[in-house]
Amino acid sequence: MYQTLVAVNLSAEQNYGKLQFLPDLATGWNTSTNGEVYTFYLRHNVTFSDGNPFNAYDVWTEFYFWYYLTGNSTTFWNGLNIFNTSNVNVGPATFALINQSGLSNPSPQLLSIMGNTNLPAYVTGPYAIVFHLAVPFPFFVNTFTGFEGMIFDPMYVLQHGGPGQPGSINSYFNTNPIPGTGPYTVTSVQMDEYVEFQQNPNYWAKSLTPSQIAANPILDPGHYKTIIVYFKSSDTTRYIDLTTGKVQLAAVTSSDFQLILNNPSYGYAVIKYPADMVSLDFNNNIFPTNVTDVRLAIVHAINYTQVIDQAVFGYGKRVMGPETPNYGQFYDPGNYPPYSYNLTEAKQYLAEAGFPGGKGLPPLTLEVDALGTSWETPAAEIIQQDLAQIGITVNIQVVPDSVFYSPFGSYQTNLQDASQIPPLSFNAVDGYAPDYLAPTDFWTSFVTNMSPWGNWGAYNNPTVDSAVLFMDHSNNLSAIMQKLTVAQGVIYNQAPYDWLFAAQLPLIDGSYAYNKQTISGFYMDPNLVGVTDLPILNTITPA
Amino acid sequence: MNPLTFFLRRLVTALVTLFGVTLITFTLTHLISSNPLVAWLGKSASIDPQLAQIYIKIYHLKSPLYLQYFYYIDGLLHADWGFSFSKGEPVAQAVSQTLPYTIQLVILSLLFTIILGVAGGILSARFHGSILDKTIRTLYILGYASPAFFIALVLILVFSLFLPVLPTGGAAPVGVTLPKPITHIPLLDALIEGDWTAFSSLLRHAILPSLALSLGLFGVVTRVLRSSILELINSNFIRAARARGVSENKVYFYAFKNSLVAVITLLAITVNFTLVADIFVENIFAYPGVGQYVVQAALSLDYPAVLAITLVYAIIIVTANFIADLLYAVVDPRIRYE
Repeated sequence: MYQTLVAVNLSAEQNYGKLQFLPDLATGWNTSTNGEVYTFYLRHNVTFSDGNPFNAYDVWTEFYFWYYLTGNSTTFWNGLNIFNTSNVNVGPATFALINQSGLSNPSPQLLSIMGNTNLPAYVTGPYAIVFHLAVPFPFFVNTFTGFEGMIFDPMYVLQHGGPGQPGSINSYFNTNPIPGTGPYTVTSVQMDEYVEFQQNPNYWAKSLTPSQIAANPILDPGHYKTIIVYFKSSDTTRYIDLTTGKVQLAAVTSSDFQLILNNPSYGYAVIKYPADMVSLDFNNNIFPTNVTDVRLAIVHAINYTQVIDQAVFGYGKRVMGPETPNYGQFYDPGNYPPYSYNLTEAKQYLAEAGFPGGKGLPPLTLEVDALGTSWETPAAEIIQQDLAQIGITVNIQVVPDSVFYSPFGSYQTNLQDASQIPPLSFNAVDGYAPDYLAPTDFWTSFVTNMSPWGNWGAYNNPTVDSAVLFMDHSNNLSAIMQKLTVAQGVIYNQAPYDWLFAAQLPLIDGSYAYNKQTISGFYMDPNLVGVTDLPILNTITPA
Repeated sequence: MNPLTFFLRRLVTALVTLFGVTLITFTLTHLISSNPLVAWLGKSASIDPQLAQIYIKIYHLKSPLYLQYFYYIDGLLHADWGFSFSKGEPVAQAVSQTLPYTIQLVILSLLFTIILGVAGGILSARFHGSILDKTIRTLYILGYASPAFFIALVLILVFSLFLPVLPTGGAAPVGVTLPKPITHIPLLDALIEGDWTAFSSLLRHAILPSLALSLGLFGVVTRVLRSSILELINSNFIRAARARGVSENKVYFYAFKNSLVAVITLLAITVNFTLVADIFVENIFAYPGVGQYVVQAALSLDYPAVLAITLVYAIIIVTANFIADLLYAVVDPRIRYE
């Protein structure tokens, strides 16, 4: 299992809705006054599960693996354009040199490359690594909670054929996972069947006291010697395995989840401060959803309580986007209430738009992703009935997942493909969870022209854009909040999206269910399903 | 027609069929989406434009469709089936890992189909009009009328939930070391190596999925065999046999032997149906074969994989029909190669 340089304080995040970062493989870090240079000081005496020592050279190599595998993309780090990669010439030749030299005690030639301060990442010693950003980015530490932040043993990679090529990662690692530093190690893999984890006897934090674990739960050495994760695509099969005691924890959704709800013997994960946004997306660039009053009419015509009750068993928290409640002060800085269900107001907006009683409006297509029909279809049917009350006809169209996503991309792509994007659609079958825990993620993704992914409605407003751009590169928190508050007002009044709810069940219409007699609880993935979509195995605690 | 001419003629027909399959599948998969990059790379298609360019180059995505098809066929002829995005490995590697599991399931299900179908057909004909005959007919109509995924769920409920004797899914339990590949079909390899632990584990996991496949199809064999035997039982050669004092059981054996041509034709068709039903069954039982793989591939628009699997299925079906043609002559020497 992989760890990161910095850890999310799971207890603060999931019990109190506070985002805090704690030491993990880094014991500490500091930031230069201009906000562009981050230095991380790494933990000593940590080894990967294969016995190789962990140090700054590993982190350096892994950083450039990512860069190389994306085809030297300037936005390789979580999609952020924060590094100047023009001087980077790290690729197969350097990797061959590393393979020759090793990373425990790199050769002088290799050290001179790794210590090159013109590169965006360089080492200043075996336990210190510096990331030099091209622009100040106050949430850089947050990005380590994402996929790229997970630390693995690069020497193992190099000794087993290397990372592969851009576009085709070395498939050897599909069944021979790369060692990490975490509390569990993978001991057996059968593709599409199971993965067996065993406690890592050499785990560096295995002797932590209960109070130390309570202070930083992600470091927990684990409570079970062996954990097996099975891949079973049938929900019924998973439910049967759980109820017959063949497994102790299972992902249960849809009608089977109703059975779990009705049975007090079973517990299930509920996310108190959800980060998974579920929205009804308006195509802001085609008629009639390009008319603000039409969008405002729709957002006031939907019975949200009914949608949440019937589509997701009541486990949806009404929110006012684009941010979700887990980001504290960055969530709804204007303190606007979620859109209310008010048919009179909805009809009034429609009349003001010039379409009284829906007259003159064409039928609207609401696209449902075939993978999400278990909750999207009931939600779509309620929306269809609700909009019929104000005279808007909605046609529900179920399309394959690949077709659903084919027109989408960056803001520019969405704008270009606007004619192929339906007037109404849901943003994602499993909601839209963050890839890394920075408040800039959703603000940028949903409502700006800098969006790399997620602004399906191709919404754009200069006030919002400049506020988010300022947020990206400023350390002045009060100024950021002031600008975001104004931006929030613009978004509220223009309703580019209908923020239906933030999902409180990790699987939207289902969750990870467990028998209360065997398991007492666990923490969820800190990105709240954005990266792994699984409970954190080492935090699963016996009853 | 001599056997060689017959063979060559069928070979040409098979090649034309396979070419047609690649052409239709390629066109359809490409028409579904003009922008497969998003399905393959997700967010990376937008945030890593350099990576997107690499994919565009590898898969000639900016070329006209006919050129893309040409490159695809060229790749196939050079043993390059492309890269499977849903598996994260070359398609040929992914197919070679999953296909043996499907083959073992299909073989086992055909075995069940033959045993149940032939036994049902003989008993039903031998005791036609009796309660046994009516019971068998009811059972095969029930089986035939039920889709494989429904039968699979019923089997799971009965044998995994109410009588928890068989596993709900997977191909082998954790901890069982799979046999070294000889034929690459795990069940067969375990048998050859005499590894009874692996064999029994693999068999236990294959019983329910293969039964789910055969319970829907055995009735076809039963029904055709029953009708064929009953038709033959009144024919001249059977009357002659009876007149010579041949026992009634032996008489039915003669009739059965002469009905085999019809059964062999059916078995070739059964392979087609089994492969289609297998897609649903493997997904329900989380069986790591091609059926599960093709669903993952189709959902993620992994068209190099979808194309390869469709081609493999076509090869199996064409081969099964070809073998059936050859077997006609073996079973009934009166049939000539025409």
